[in-house]
Order: sequence, then C-alpha cells, then structure tokens
Amino acid sequence: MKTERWRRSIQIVFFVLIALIAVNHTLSESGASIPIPFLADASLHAVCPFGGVVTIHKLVTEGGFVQKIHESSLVLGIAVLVTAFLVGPAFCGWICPFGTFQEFVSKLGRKLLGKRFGKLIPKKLDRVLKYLRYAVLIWVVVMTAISGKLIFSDYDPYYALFQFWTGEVAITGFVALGIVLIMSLFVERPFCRYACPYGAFLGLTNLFRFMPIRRKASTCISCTKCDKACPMGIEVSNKTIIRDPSCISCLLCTSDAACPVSGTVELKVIPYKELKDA
Amino acid sequence: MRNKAALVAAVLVLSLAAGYGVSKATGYWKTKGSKNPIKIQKGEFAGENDPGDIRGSYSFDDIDAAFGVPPQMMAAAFGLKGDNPGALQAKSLETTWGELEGGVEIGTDAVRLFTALWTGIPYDMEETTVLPEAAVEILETYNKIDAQKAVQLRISAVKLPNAAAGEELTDVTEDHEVPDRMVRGLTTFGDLQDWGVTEEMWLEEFGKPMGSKADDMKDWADETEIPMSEIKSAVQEMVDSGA
Repeated sequence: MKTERWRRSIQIVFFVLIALIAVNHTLSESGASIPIPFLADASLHAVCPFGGVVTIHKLVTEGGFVQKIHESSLVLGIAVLVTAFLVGPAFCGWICPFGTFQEFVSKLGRKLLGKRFGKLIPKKLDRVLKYLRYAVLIWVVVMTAISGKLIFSDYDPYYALFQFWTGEVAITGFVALGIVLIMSLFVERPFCRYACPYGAFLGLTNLFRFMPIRRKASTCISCTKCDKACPMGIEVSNKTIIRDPSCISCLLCTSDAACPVSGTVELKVIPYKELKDA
Repeated sequence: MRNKAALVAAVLVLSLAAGYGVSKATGYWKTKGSKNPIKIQKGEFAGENDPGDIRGSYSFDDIDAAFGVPPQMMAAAFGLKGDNPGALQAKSLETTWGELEGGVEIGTDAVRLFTALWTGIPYDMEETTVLPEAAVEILETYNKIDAQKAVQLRISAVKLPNAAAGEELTDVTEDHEVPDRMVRGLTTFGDLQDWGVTEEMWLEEFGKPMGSKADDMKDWADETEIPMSEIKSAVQEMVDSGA
C-alpha cells in the first residue's frame, strides 16, 4: 500500500493548497488575505496549468494572455507537460484536486453500491464516450482563441467546486458539478474519463512517454486485479505496454499496489528492443 | 529508484518547484495581470489603450490611470456609492446590480463601453451590453456623445434601482465642469427659470405646465411620458434663445 500512501498524501496536500488559494483570493478582494508563501493572493486561474494550454494561440499571435490567465499558468503548464513526457499524466492521478474530489465521492459510491459500482456504463459505451473529451478539448481551445476569454470556466465543474461561494460561477458550472457529483457515485472519475479537456491533452503523452507502465506477460497470472484497480477503466491485463491515452499514472495497477506478483506491472523505462517486440 | 511512487512524487514536485524557481528568479512568474491594457495595433487609434481589454479585476483607479476616466464619474455613471470609488472593481457591478428588469445585466462590458465613449476610442461592444440611464446622462452632459448617439443609447438604457447617480453627480460636477447652461435630466425647473425659460414658453412648447422649482426635468419627462431627448433639445433651444 505504499504507492497509495504516497499518492494520497500528495493529493491531500494539493487539494488543501488549492482550497486555501481559492478562499484566500476571495479574502484578498476584501483586503483580508493570508500571505501564502510563493502564491500571495493568486486566483484559481493563475495556478491552473490548463491556462497555459488555452492561452497558447493568443501568446503566439498577439504576445498576450487570454483574460484571467497569467505567466504563472504558462510556467505550470510547461512543468506539468515535462512530467507528462517523463512519467505520463501523473498530474491527473496525483495532483489535480478535482480528480481527488471525484475519488472521495466514488469511495462513498463504492460503499453504497458494493459490487455494482462501476457497472453503470457498459464497456463498449465507455470506450466511445472517452472520445468526448477530445471534442471538448478542441472546442475549448478554438473558442478561447476566437473570443480571447476563458470560455470553459462557465462549464467547468472544478471552477464551480472551488468558487461556489463567490457568485462568479455560472449556472452551467453548477449543473456540470452536480452531474459529476452524481455520476461519481456510480463510476470512477467520470469527468476525467469523458469530459476533461486538460486530461485529453495530457493523455496524448501516453503514446510516447519516456517511462510507460509495462505488464510482463511471462509472470502475469491473469488475475485481472490490475483491471479492477484502474480508475480509468483500462484493461491492463491484455496489454504489454500501457499506451492508452486514458492512463493517469496513478500506479494503482502496478506490483507496488494491486498486482500480486512482484515486478509484473511496473512503471519502467522500456529498452528499445523490448519496445520493438511489443 | 526502486520505489516508483516516490519517483513519481519526486518528478512532480521537482518539476513544479523548478518551474516556479526558474521563472521567479528570472522575474517571469506573475499571478496577476499588469492592469495595463493592450494597445490598439492598427488604424487611426493605433498605440492607444484598448478599452476592450479592460478586465473585471480592474479598479476604477486602474481605468483612470489607463484611460483618464475619473473614478467618481465612473461610480456615478454606474450608481455606486462609497468613500473610495477608485478602489471599486469593474466586476463589482455584476454583484451589486445582478440581473435587472428585462433580464439585462450591467457588468464589465458596460464599463468598457462607457470608457470607450468617454475617450472616443472605438470598441465593439457585446450585443447584450447596455448602460444605465445615469451613464448616458453623464456622457451627454460632458459632451462625450452627440444627441443622436444619446437617443440610440437611451433606447436600451436601464434605470438602476435606488441608483446613487443623482446625488453623486452633484459631487462629480465640483471637480469636472459642466458646460454652461447645459440642459440635462437633472436640471431643475428653478435652474430653467434662472436661465430665462418662462411658464408661457413652456406651455406653448409642451402644452403642459412646468413642474415646481425643485423638480428636475427627468422626473417631469417620466410623469408626462414625453421622451427626454425631445424635451432636452426643445428646452436647450429656449435657453439658448433667452441667453
């Protein structure tokens, strides 16, 4: 369980940090903020690395940022992209506070539904729905480029969760949050699977990341515990190298967590020869 | 590193820390906008600050610094009270006024439009943007728009509930001179009589008696349902002919 302890600790630290930043920003507007080291009274947008993605067009064409996005978003976006090239979209599995929130709600769902949890959406439909987030990504990037505004914030359940007290959240944001909240009781990380544009973007790094997750077929006992552990519904047990764009590098499928056979499912640099054979 | 969880945690934390550290050291790290709007790139107004780039987080002081619109004027135009109008933010309008009659909202885009009209810098407003009546009044009073534009803006202008504009405008005029004998909605019948407008002239023009000395033109226009724009131009002629 050491993997889960590490991951959970990081998740909690970042969840608390983001909640603190969100509250502090509200306080700062009434002149009562707490001096958080490094971040002062930054807004939620200023510390969201996805801002670095949606502002690229404006940065290249006009040399400026879209409204509410600042240099900090671009810096964090680049840092997260570097980690994704190395170990995949670990930002999603380890840091994103909205992913953590969905996991908390899903824990309740598991308790309420038992073995029926995660069976709401048939696998075939799940596979098709996973393409939705690419449509969302394209829509967000294009519309932000056209308007120069953060189009997605009106529909963003993450923004709604951490700003619900400010009066700045659109009704559509609350609706999106409500849908995610309810769906999280039935399926793990529904927003990450089907709608998150940043997850879609980072997920593409799974196709060529430096350290993918590898399943060693020769020692695998086909118990499918890795499949059951995956919060993104990936069938790890029928793959040798996990290149699925949905992977969030949570490591829950690995031999340090769910897999009972040591050294069978691992995060690992794959030698070129093995890559060719795979 | 055998512990892969520790490896991932280290990669994440170190990348973010390195990103922050390098950008902070080079002075690139910023979590707030500069409050300097972008400049217009082309055309007659190239090099001027672009009112379209005013953000909700801009205070009236920021707008004053960038465009020269006095904060008191802005506060009066948007019906805001307070000891320190310069500290008010453009986005505070949305929370102060919320959704008004007819489902319209007064927000940051209205501030952009007001600023654009005040400065004469062009701005393509959003289709749904409207100004408060007091803002139109101020723009016309200070000769920032012509009568035709005022009529056009009044069609969609909204009356803010319990707006402070009237009383604030009095304060504003102390610092910003109103053109001599300029007829406006807040002009009282007492002013008009001082400027030479008589009861007979009034009756002949409108067929209805003048209000009492303390009444202003706007209230009279509301009562009689005669458009303010019509009254204004006719009364201005009376004042000018008597001057």
